[in-house]
Amino acid sequence: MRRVFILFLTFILFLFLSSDNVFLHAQDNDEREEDGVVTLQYYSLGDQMFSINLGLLVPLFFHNPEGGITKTNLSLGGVGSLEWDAFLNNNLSLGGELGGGFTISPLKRVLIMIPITVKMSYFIRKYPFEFPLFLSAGICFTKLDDLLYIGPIVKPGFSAYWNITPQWAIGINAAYWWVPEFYLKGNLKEQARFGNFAEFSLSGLYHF
Amino acid sequence: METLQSSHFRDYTTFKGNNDMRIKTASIFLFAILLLVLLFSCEENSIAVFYSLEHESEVEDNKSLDNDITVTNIERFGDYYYISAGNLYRRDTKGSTQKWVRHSEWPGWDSATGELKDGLCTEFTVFNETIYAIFYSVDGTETGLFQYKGNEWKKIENGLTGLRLDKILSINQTLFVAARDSGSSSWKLYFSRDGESFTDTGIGDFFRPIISGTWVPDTAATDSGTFYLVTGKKVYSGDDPENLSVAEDFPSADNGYGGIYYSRALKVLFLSTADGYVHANDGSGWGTSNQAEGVSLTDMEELNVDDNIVIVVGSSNGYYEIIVAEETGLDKDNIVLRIPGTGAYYSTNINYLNTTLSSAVILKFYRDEEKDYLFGCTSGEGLWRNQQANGYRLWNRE
Repeated sequence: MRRVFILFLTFILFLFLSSDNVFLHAQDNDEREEDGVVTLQYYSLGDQMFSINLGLLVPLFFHNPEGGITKTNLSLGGVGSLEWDAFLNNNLSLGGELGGGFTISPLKRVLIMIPITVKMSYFIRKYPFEFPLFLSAGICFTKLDDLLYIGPIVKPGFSAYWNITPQWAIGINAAYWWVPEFYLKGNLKEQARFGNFAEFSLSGLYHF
Repeated sequence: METLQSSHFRDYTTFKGNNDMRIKTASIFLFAILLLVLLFSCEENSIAVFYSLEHESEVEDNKSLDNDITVTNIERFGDYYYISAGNLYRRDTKGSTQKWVRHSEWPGWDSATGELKDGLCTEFTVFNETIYAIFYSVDGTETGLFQYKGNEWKKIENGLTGLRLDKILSINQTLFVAARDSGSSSWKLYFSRDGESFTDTGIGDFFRPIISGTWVPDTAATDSGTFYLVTGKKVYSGDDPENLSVAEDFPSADNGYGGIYYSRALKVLFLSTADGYVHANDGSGWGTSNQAEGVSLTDMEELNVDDNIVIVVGSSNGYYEIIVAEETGLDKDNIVLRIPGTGAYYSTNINYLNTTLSSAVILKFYRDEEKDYLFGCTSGEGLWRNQQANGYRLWNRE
């Protein structure tokens, strides 16, 4: 884990040192003039970005739909994901994310969650910074020992990116993982719980 | 520049309609995913993942007892729990962190002799407020029965001289010892009512020595009843130890029996087998459970959980439960052996499936009614204690 972190830091340092004047990036972008106001069009349909995220997964609580909040008994965990997004317009992107997170139980059992989600982001920007608000939804493979549950996941969150170059950016993310585990039939119906987790991660992004 | 700007604006306008369409497509796609998840998320696990984690806690470990020892028996006597596990050990019943103390550190060790001095304890029981333990010499050639009473050790030889001792059971004020002549492979059963001298019951030639026994009171009076003693492939019964004979009308077991247990609460006699079945007799005949596949069943015990009586059945791979509602009693034609922790109702555990106990060979169960503890003696996995905690029962290690 430590080695991965060092590699990540090295990667960020490399980006920083090899960056051009980021303000040139703004000049490269499209402009649109309406009523004398020039609107910079940083992205348009078809622009894409790819990102790698690494960080911490914080187990928050389990929610019993019949009432009550209970502790998860889980340790602080790790999370990572690969993400691809395409811009629909200057402010909106749609993409997909394949992630993985893990935490450890008191009996050293490893809870593994693998979400595959579709992600919609809305970008607020103050160049060279961007602040996407996003909502991801999809399926999550939740595994604990030989137990496997495939269920939905919803991840609202926000990010803060710093565009180091026209192509490269780094950033931080905070997301809330809402992972319902429910059973429509069988004798596990009363064991339904909604898992609540928080993700805090660092990102490296490439625009193309 | 003007041309470029117009071009971009035109592009923007052109693509706006496409964007709406794409957003709509994406929404449908998202909805389809959620629908699929709803349809296929109902994986039938033995326990829900988050629910399992919610009730998981670190297994408490007494630590004064090795976790890899084989424990053949545990009994409470006075303010101590006693176990046989190569040595005899005991610990105070107060709390769960009291240290287990080896027999050589008990008061009166000066009086120890023979196999007791340097040997290994294989079995013990409590009879007449006295500890009785079988010790083997380290080379396995000599055995002896020793009594620990009033902080003094004494070897009991009357009626047992020259015999190799294997199993000791205390049933209804009677002490039974399975033994054989040196050099013989046939076992005999001896009994004692005073704990000082032993008499041959007259039954023997066992496939295996006595492994389990119980006493069933007559329905009319509680001071009279019937002894049942199980060997590998035979069940002996009789109202007197001197008058035991092969019991009739007991279900056969191709691979031998595992244990016998009488539930006073249910008034049912249970018989477990190495074939994975539990047979139960409520006085109207025998009923048989489903088969616990691939395991041989061993000792049994019961405890009350909520409004149920739970019969726990040890096996070569963890244990099983038979849950009986107190109100209705046992339906002998519908005996269900189930793995604890599977299903919505949690009886004897909440963490069983997360522990190594779930794959251990369980030799013996013992219940301390006063403390509401259930102990599980294992082969090579130490001693486990089941107890109430925060509304659930869970297993901890001794």
